[in-house]
Amino acid sequence: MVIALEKQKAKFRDAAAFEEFLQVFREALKDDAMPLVVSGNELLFAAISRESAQQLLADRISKRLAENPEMLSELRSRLESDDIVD
Amino acid sequence: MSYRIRFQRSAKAELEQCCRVYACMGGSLLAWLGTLAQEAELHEERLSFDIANLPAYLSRVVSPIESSWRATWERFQVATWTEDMKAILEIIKTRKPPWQLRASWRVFPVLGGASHCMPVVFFDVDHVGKQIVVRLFDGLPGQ
Repeated sequence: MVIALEKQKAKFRDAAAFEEFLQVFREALKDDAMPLVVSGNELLFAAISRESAQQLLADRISKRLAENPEMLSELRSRLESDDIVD
Repeated sequence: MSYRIRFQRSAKAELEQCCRVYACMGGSLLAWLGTLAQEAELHEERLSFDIANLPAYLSRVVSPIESSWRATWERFQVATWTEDMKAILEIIKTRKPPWQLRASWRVFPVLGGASHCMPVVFFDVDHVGKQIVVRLFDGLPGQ
């Protein structure tokens, strides 16, 4: 999920607090790490680079296919079908 | 306006079945598909992965020392996975470009956050017809 931070500005105490958050956030993204934003023990979100996101997607999808190999066979059969609806 | 969202009939049935039981999921799932359609239109796919790149990805990550992948690789070896994957890559190759088969994965809260689900969706992007066609869901609640 991608959240445009600018749209969340109203949730901050004031403009200075928002700017401070952006500064910390940009700094954390600089090293292509995975910054985690937490509240107490709860993970609010993590941010990753575009390349890491692609790797994560490939990893999850491959492992799902491995857990359920019949899915690939079903996908193959559906790709050969033209039964498309709105 | 983003690309039109269409469905392979069975995928539509999977979505409708999920929404019948978990009505609250409908909006989130359609919003997800809407985002994927929008990304396709902009040619800025961040939330989906091109299936044509999957073999290259697997060849990079699968190695004897990569323990987290060893079990997965063994599953691939015993399954008909390779044969199906080859067939799918052949379909991708022979379709007239620009056409892509992509997949996306997401985590959704279910029942107000009491639980969560991690569905995968496979869809193709038809840049000529300006549409995405949802082919298959896996991991929807109740599926």
